[in-house]
Amino acid sequence: MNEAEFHGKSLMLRLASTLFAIFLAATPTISRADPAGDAFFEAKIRPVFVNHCYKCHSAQAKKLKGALHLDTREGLLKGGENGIVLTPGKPDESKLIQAVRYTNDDLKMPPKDQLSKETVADLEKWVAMGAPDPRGAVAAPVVAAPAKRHIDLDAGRKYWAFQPLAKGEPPAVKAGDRVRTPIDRFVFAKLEQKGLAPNGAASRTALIRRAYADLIGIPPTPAQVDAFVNDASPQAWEHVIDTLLASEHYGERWGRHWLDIVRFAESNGYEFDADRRGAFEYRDFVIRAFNGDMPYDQFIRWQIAGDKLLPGNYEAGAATGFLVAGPSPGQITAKTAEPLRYDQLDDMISTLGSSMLAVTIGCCRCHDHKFDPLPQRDYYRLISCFADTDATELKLDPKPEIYQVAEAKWKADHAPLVAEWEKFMHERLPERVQQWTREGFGVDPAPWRVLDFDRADVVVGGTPDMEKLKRLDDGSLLLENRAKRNETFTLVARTHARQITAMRIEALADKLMPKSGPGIGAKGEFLLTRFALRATPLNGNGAAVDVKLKSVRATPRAKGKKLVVGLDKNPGSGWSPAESGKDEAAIFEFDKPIDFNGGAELTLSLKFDSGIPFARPRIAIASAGASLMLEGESQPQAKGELAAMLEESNDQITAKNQAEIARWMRRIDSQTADAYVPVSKHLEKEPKEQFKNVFAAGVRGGRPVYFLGRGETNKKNGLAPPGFLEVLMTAPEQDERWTVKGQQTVSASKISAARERLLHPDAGSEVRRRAGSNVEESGSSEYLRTGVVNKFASYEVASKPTTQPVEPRVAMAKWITDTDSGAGQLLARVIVNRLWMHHMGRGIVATPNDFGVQGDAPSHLELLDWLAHDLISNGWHLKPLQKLIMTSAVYMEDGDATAANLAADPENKLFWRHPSQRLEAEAVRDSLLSVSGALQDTMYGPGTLDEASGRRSVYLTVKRSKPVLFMKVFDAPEAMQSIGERQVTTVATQALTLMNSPFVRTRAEQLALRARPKPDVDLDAAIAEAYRLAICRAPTAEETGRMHDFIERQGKTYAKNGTDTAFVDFCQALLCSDEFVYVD
Amino acid sequence: METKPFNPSLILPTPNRRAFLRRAGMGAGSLALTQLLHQQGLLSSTARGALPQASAANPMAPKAPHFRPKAKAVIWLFMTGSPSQVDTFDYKPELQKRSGQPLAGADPKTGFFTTSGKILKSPFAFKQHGDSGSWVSEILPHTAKFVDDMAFIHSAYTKANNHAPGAFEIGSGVMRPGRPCMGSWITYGLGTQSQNLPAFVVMHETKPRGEDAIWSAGFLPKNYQALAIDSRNPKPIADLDRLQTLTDAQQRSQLDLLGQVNREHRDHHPLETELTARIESFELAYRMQTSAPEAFDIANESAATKELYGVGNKDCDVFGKQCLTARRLVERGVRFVQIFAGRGVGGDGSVGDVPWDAHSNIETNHRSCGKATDQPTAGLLADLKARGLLEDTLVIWSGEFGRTSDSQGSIGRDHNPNAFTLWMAGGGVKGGVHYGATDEFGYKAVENRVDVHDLHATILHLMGIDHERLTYRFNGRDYRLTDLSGSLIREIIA
Repeated sequence: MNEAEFHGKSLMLRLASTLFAIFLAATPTISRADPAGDAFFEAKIRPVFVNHCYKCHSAQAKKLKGALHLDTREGLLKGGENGIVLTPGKPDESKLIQAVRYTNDDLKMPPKDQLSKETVADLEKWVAMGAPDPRGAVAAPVVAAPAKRHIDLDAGRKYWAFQPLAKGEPPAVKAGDRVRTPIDRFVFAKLEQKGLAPNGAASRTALIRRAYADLIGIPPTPAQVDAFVNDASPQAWEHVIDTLLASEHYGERWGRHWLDIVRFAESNGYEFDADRRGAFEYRDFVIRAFNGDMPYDQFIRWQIAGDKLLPGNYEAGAATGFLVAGPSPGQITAKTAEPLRYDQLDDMISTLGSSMLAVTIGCCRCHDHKFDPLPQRDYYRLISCFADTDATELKLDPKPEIYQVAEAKWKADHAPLVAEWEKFMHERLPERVQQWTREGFGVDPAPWRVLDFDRADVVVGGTPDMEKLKRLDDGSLLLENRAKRNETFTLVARTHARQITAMRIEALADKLMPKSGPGIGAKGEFLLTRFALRATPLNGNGAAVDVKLKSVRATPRAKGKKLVVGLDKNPGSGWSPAESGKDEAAIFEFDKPIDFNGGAELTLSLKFDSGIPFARPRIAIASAGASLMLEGESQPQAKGELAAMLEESNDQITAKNQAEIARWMRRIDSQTADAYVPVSKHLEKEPKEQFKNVFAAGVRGGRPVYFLGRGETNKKNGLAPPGFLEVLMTAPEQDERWTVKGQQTVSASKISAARERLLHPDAGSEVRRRAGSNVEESGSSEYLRTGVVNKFASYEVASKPTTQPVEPRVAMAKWITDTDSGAGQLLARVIVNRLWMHHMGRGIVATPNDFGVQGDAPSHLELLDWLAHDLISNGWHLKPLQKLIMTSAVYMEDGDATAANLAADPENKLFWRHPSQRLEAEAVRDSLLSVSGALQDTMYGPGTLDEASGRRSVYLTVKRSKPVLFMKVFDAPEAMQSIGERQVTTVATQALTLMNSPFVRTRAEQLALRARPKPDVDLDAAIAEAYRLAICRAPTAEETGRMHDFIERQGKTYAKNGTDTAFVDFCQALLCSDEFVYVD
Repeated sequence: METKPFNPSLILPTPNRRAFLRRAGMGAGSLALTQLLHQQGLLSSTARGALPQASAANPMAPKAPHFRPKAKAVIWLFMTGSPSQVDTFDYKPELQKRSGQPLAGADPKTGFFTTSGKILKSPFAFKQHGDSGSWVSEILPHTAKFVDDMAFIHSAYTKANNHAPGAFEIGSGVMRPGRPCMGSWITYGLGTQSQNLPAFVVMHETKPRGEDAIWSAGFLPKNYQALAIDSRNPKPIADLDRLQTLTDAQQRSQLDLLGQVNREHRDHHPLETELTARIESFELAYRMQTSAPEAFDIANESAATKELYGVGNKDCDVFGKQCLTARRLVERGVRFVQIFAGRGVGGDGSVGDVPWDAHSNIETNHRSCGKATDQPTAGLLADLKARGLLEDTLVIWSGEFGRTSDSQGSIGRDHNPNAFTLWMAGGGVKGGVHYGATDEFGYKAVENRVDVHDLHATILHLMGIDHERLTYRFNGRDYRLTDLSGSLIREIIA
């Protein structure tokens, strides 16, 4: 290869590497900086050396051959015992090349496996390039580790995606008469530069079908087509777009695009693929946000930190489903717990990077990004923002205002009832107590005093899902939902008894349990594994005591179970009965008596690690001197308590003990009880918040995040503090701007001034929004109910100059939407590109999830920036931008081709035509349902796995292990990672589904009935109606004739109802046709 | 040379073709590939006529491998649940001698539960077999007859220590779901030889733990995904049967009508190349209605053949049928068949989705798993050999990982990612060779350790694919099955 050839051939490589060269520089510095060459070395040459040569020619070789080191630049240049092996620039003179060519019988390397032709060519090319080699003089310790290089962030900031938005004006064009929007100027200008012209406008029938498909994913009805086609007003097109943007179907369509991007699913994936109850709430949030045209920056902030920005808010909480939508394992072993946690963090940040910023930050888990200016430390600082984030179920009330109103009313109603009761306590209670004491107390001598619990909760399966144990008249507690396997009972009681020495738990039999219990196990068994009791003085004098046990004894027990419950912490041993259907009891004797003057609060915790509790416990205490019998008699708590309290207070009813005395009197005195009835009855009516279980991000654990070498958890390199992408920070104070409250008081004012200029270049009017500062948002439900945007926008006041750390996720949410010194401008570019892609069939950047060097360069950067700027200026509303795109002449082009355009720009990168597109799986299915009249309009709520359901496809449950077949066949992606652009395949299974599935055939039958409701309808008219319903146009005369012939011919082959069935066959063919499945 | 009128659809990339070019990597850079496709497009319009070519319009057409392949097809017998190496092919006299003694260096948290740290000997008798003198335990007597055809790898290890992550790792190289599995990579790399059948077929009974994600095409286009056949489902391919309301002739005439409609539409949209593929897809679907059931129907196999595979034998009927079906598929050009041993294989104490998972009793479990898989495995090898198919069909036998040399409880074994044995036979591997070794207790791979990427690199190599050049661009990165590593195990390649 001569030099001219070489230059020609490497030109592509050099062009490709120009950007690369901007921000990657090799260290150690060699005077010839040749990043392109280094890149070539890393991509093509080093792997060859590592895989084929190092075994014998490196520091790691078991036996170094020929005294030749190929693992350092120095060694390579020095050569081995037979002299120099490499002459840079001259492949033919280099022994290295001769050896790999295998032409010299005495010199063949590698000796056993000849390198491929391509590899040899690469090596030749590399030597011809001058053998660029970024390696140092000392071999890298890890065999395949790339050379150490540093990332030049300042240079990186000059890369197009990370630069500030250009504020270019739409250029002037010659074809001014065709310009409908500023967009057209940008596109036409480029076409004119190449001497090309855009296509003419598509027909009205084509346009309306395109608009429906794009905005709502369902075809227009014949009436809707006619209305538009016959609407002569200049606003006709605009009107169609406005109507569609206002349709609730819009959110179902565009929400689904977003769900692809965020790998939304409703199950865990991995083993067992457990369902995520309440995961659909995120899907619903997305649909509502699109329908309400939520400002996109807020949409993003809520998904990252909605739970922290607006604690308790249903929408903002549901939005964080974004963070935890990724797959997660169903089984974790000790060895894998930590790596899996980093996997989970990786899933969050990779998805966030791809979906919101189109950066492939996930690449930096093991090393600095190979192409983009993203250092590895950024990766760990970013995931550190999620250190305490984990999936949880939030209990959130979608309509708290209903509760608040009801609660206020209830409180108002309740107050007089309480006043009445207090009046009773003042005026009548002393007399009632006196009467009871006069009657000689009637205190029961039984040794066991049954506790009357204030609180009796059951924590189910480790989740904070509380169930109550219901109190029965005999003082026992009934676990009402016995179907569930429960873990822990938490029981709280108060008592004024003194010198308490023991507790007895009776596990009572009950017909409601299997084999009458006393446990919920299949044989009536239970296994109590842990017992813990804490006593806290009621008057606050003295410390709480964790009671130690002296002994435990119980009625006859199951074999092999050691009765050490409460004495050990082993979750395997415990109290289990021997027989079913009998009452059982155990006595827990204390090491020291509980004895508090003024009473004690007893908190008892009973744990059933095996998940098999008893279902009707009765729990009693005994004081010193009582005989502690397993079968001993028990008494209710009330009389003993009253006696003890009155003794404490010398028979005085005081303000302090009044309520407590009244409480116990209610148990033994009917007049006191009656006086309380209005209060207790009204208490039952206390309104409750209508919580929904929302699968969302929650705070758990808060384990620290470390920098990891090569992404491996056994290579920790110190704690990673929260932080963001450095290349996307332009303010000098960097991280602190977002992570520390109050630091930026000064700059906040600068921000607002700058923002004001940006938003209102002409006037000093009020600042509409200040995304970059520290005040949180409010008023969500109002917005989502009414769609009124202004109520949502935050009008914040500059925060006080305190220096508190901001929650890292909140800080991240602010950084990412900060258009002044954070990532906000890139955020805008990325979403604008996605909108453009879905409308135009191709993004301005054709790789919507990757704006990095490896992605495609923007075809119209000025347009992209102009659109992004427009989005920010309009308060981040997507709908107006979409309307702008759709009213452009560019969008309205037809799909035809002229020879000149084809030759100059065959891929339509300049957008001179509107290409046709296959509908996505959801749109195909929804269109089938729609044209057959079977589409249901039920929105929101739990989805379904039933493919035959009439609901829109966005409501099909996304279960990772069980994709709905129709969706899978038509390329719906697996929800494992962010998908920016769906693949479109054309495979036989799609044809099989359309030909043979009962779902499609049923749709054809329904369509046939719509087009031809009665057999006496004229066949040609019915054919025309079917065309109009299915593909939104009338058939040509020729088509009508052909279909007519088919139906008659095919009809004769059926024994009965031939025409009807043949008409269905024809309708099905229409539903299988390209025209149905494609737009344009 | 005959000239035809210029048809732009033959050379112009459609949006999909464009995406395909951007992402696809079969060694050539995308620019070169563009040129290649242009050439192919032109070729198909002239001299080569209807011969299918790899392109976006027909991504399933056979593609040229990087170099001459040794294997045309792979049958992977997946021993779901993970067999124990020391109870099958990795004979360890020391283990037998020192049963009950502490296992030096044992980590009780190696697997899913906690192990005892005490050596548990194999309850099975081992014997040497074949000219190679390879050791095999008594539970696999039929398989043992073929040791001279097998290349054993004794030093395999994984990162994952639990079933689903393990199945993901050994299938796709990464212990998380979402990456394309090997069958999809190979289909993407080589296309299909059988235009009437999918290139990649998975057979299972109970679904293995991890379910469909194990054979996912990940981010690869859906046409490279597996067809999964549930042996419990009499209709393995969805919507394959013609609607009952239509006769063949009626459906044919309906499809003719559709073809006419679609051709007309296509002629008005000459730039959309996939419309041609779409017309063809209906014809293929029509043909599949008869060709696919034929491929999966073993009724016409001779009684002797069925007996060879153990079909009808209650111990191994399901696996036998699956193995026999695998042979039929490979004969018909299917490239990659993976059979997951299922419930029918399960032994004492194991769960249907992971039959070999001998946590509680290695003896009863493995004996029963052996019975359920041994004869079909041997039958498959014998049948392939007899038909001359073994030469270019690579048979692989492997679980997710291995099992511990110390006991779990008293007589069970836990998961062990640090060592397992697998074997390959046919398809260009040497027979009767043993590669790599574990320590004297079979607990850890110590010599010539083989990770999953090495395994994948080797299998791809046998299929004619350079694992470093089979790439796909997704979310900004060129992905490989072997990630950033993988070296060939040359020692086992014939």
